[in-house]
Amino acid sequence: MRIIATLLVTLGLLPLSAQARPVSYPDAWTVMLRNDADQNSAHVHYTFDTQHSIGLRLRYDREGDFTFTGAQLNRLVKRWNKPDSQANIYARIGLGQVSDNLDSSELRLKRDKDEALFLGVSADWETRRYFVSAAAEHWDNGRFGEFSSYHSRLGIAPYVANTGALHTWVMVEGHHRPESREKVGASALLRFFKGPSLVEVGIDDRGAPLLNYIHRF
Amino acid sequence: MKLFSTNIVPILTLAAMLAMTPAASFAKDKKMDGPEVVEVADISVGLSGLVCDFCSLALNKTFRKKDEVRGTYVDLDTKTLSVALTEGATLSNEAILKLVKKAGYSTTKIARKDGSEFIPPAKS
Repeated sequence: MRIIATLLVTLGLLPLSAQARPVSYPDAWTVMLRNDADQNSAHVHYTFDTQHSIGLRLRYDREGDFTFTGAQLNRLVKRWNKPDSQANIYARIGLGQVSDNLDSSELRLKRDKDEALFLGVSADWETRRYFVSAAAEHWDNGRFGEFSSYHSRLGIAPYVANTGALHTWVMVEGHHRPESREKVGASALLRFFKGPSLVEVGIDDRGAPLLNYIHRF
Repeated sequence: MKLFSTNIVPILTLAAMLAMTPAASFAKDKKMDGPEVVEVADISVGLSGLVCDFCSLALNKTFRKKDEVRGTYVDLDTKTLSVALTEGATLSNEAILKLVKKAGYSTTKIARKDGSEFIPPAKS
């Protein structure tokens, strides 16, 4: 019932807002992979108009040891194009199923599973030299519990590259996950960006590696 | 309370994504795409909001879908999109404004080979 209420609230709020990075240009496909201490996540989406994309989302939660499989709708709520910068606000909603991961030693015939819903908002501001972003997500995973996560990033490009060249960014990311054992953390990462591909490699303050990848086509 | 089987959500979503995708989206276009386009460009479009290669990609892909377009190149340094047209083709200012907006950016100026210039109103 809580999921239905959250869904209704979200659907009511979305039209009030309007654009974000999980939305590309019309008819574009994007693959986004994120791997860090908290999760392995894959999101493949198709942008069907200037403001919306829809896609599949797969997310393994390391701490909870469960997997979400479902659909994700992204909306670019608002974009500001300035001569030397761009800023965006994005909203997202996902609906699907969470299931636990059967260990080979467990003598169970069926996985536990439940419906799941998540909501998220994010904002970013970027020039060719500086990058700032913030994001918040709330997940209701039914019997697997609820959690929220908050991320923010600061980045600087040591040099400014033109079209087609290798773009490099040095970034730091802070994250807060109130329901987690590790409530607060930070990561340092390098972003390499060339043409349609973006790779991020980093390490967090617990020593766990981070590897993210985005490709657009 | 079970509303519906959530197992089918990813399958329906993938089906919807594929159904909406024009087949041509997966084909690589053979149009001009390098800095050499600047030399032969018929139209130069000034842009705002350009910050990265994904911006270039969005503009190139959006413009190259048009039959009138022979090639495009985005220069992040000059914030300019160069457009080479196919022989005898034209692309109106209105069409250019719409394509730039569709790609997610804003037009600051449209300059043509014949020397004419168009400065769009602030919200285009």
